[in-house]
Amino acid sequence: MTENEEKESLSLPASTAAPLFFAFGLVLLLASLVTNVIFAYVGAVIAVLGAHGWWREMLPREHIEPVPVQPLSERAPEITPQPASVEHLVVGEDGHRVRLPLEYHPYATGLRAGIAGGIAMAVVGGIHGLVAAGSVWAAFNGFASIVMPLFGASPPPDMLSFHPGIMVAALGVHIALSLLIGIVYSSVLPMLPGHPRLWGGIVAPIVWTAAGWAAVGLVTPDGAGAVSWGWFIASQIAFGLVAGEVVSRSTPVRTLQSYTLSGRAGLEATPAQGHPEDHS
Amino acid sequence: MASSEGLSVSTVPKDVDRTWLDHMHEWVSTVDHKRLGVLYIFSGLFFFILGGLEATAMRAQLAIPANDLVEPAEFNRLFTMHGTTMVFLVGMPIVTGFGNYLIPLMIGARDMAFPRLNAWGFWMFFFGGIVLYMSYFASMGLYGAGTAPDVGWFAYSPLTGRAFSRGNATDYWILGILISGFGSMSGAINMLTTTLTMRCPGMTMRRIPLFVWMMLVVSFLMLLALPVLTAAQVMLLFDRFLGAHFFDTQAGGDAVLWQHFFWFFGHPEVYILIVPGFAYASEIIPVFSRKVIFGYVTMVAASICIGLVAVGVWAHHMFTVGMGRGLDIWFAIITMVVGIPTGIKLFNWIATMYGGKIRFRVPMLFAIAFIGQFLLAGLTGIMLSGAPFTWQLSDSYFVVAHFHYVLIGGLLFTVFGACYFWFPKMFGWMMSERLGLWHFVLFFIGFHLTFTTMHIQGLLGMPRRIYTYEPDRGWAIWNAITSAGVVLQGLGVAFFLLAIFMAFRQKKPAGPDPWDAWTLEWSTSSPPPEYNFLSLPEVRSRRPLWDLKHPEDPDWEHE
Repeated sequence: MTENEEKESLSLPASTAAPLFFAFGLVLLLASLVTNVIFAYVGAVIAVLGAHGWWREMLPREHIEPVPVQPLSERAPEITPQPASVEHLVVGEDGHRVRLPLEYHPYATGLRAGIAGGIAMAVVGGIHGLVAAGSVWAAFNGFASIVMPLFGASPPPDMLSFHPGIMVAALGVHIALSLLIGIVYSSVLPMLPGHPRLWGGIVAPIVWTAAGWAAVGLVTPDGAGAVSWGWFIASQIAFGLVAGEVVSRSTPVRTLQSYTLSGRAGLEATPAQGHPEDHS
Repeated sequence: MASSEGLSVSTVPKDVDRTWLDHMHEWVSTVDHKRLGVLYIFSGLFFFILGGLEATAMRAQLAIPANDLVEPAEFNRLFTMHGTTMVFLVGMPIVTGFGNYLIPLMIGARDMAFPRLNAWGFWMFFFGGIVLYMSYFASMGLYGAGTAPDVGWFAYSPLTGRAFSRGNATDYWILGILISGFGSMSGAINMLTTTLTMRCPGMTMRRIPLFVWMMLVVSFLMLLALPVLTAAQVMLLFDRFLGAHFFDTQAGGDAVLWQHFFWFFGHPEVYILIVPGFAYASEIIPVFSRKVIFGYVTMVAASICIGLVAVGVWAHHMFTVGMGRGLDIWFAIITMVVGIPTGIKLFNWIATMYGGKIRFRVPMLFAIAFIGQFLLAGLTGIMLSGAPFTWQLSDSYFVVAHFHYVLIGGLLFTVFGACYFWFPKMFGWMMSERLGLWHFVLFFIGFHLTFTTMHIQGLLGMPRRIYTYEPDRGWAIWNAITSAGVVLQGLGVAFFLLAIFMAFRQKKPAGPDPWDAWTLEWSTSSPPPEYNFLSLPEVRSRRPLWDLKHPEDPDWEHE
């Protein structure tokens, strides 16, 4: 910004009441609809006068008026540099929580975590069946008794025996859920502060249990009472600890953000896997 | 009058003893964007008091069950005038007023593109408001039927037909809004043209302040939405005065057509009102966080997206009409989509504050409260975007709570923040922090007492617009709390008015840049001279004052 000390005045559009009169005339004209026709006549006259005044403000030449320049004492002082230094926020420096997604765990890690966690969960379920009911199949039949009515199927007739069809159904649902949650774990756990085993093994089971408790109660009110919540939490912890372990052992893959522009465009060979530091 | 350089020049005597009539003449004949901005804002505040008093009367009536403080017919008039006033005579002028005042200053221009049209726009708005309120006095006096309009702020057909709305009260509503609408449209044309054509050297579209970007989006929305309402109102006038049957179903017209017309205007209108709130927050939050706004480009993109999506969601106000599954699903999905750009903005404001040296001054307090409250408003908006949810809660107090969270929790809080932020620039005096804090605390508590509880009343099945209720409905305690909140809000507003009064009385000088801010308006004196800038500024970044204050680390090296 530069000062121009030579100017004594500046030209600006001159004040005029013409727009006010034009507006007032139009309003009276319209208001005549709900008042009296006299308003229309008066309004039309005022509107025409206002329009004419406005016209004369613009033609043949725009009406301007010189506005005196402020005296120096009233002007804003020149902006002077402030001595304070600027502290730039550096991503990833000490105390900065930002973690840019420069790397991620492949989906295969999530699938492996899901399979391993699912097996661990099934083992805990089997132990629960043995301890609580004397049959390793009790937990699987119990799981099926909650899930199958949702699909219109009958619950198992006998909770302690092996039923091939019910076992397949329970396994199918268990595997699908385990894989999906494994993928979620592999995506989410590395982004959380601390250790994946803590989040996967402690925090997530508590969250799942709370969600499961609320959902089972809503979907199958009778099923909520049949669930042994202590063992439920134990099986969730088993899943979380094992899945978290698998994720924490996985080697992350670099995202496209860490590639060069030509690498992203496919013009240059780019490393596909491995830790970013390996390729720096 | 002399002629100079192809222009007609008149000289104005300055610095002579002037009477109050001279001052009055200066104000009514002004074409200066700053004075017109102030006129818009103070007119809006005047109507805000009126609308607030109407709300207070309604809440007094509803504070206890089976109350008879206000008659049923008067209650209908109160909620009609309250809604109409707050939307058309408070929100619109205040938004236009801040835009008028700040856009030229922020882009380094000396005035708006069409200064006389600007003046005309203000007077059309103002007279439109007067016409609306004349209904209280005139519609009975001349025709002996009715007083103020009582058809609700959206004036659904066939209620507005001659058969159901006798007298001229509804005509006053139509004319008042029609007239003020012309003013708003002219304001939009002005803001649009000014932004696109009058930027100072270096002020590219990638450098204009977010405030200006958002007002640009608002101006587009105004130009898109308001003519539809204007056309619909002219059609309604034809129905009422010339016997046309556009909205008369018994004569082959279509009452639902009015709803489509009205909401095609009405929903963009919500964004016309709330996007300026975003604009104020986007200027206040960085200054009081001592950081550059996070994600300028995404903020601009989100604003444009909101503007685009805003014109495609109107029929979510009509889920209960029975439009059919296809349209219901379409409008539900599009409405949910609005949450994405809006969420981006919320994240960006929070990211701007993150790691900053936050100053909890009064404008910032209002801006922070706005973020939380608007988040809640958005969440209930997403809930209501589901057609089955709306089928249950349409026309209940849940909906009332939702849109008051948007317009008060969102817009009004940022307007208050903007008043405290830019008042020193407008008048040269600081407002009291202490009074401002009282204002904030009382209004904040009052707001939540009133409108958070309204959600519960709605979920308990209390319909809106009822003038009273039986004691056995379980609504009494919630209504008592709601009404108590109004008292606190009123006290908060009283502190606000007191803060304005005391600022003029105490005359604590603000200086040109009291907040150590970075946009161009803070580079000129407070209040700015008529010409804004002696020499047109040249800018090289989005924060030109930062560049001048920190030449060792200017923004243009990083943008």
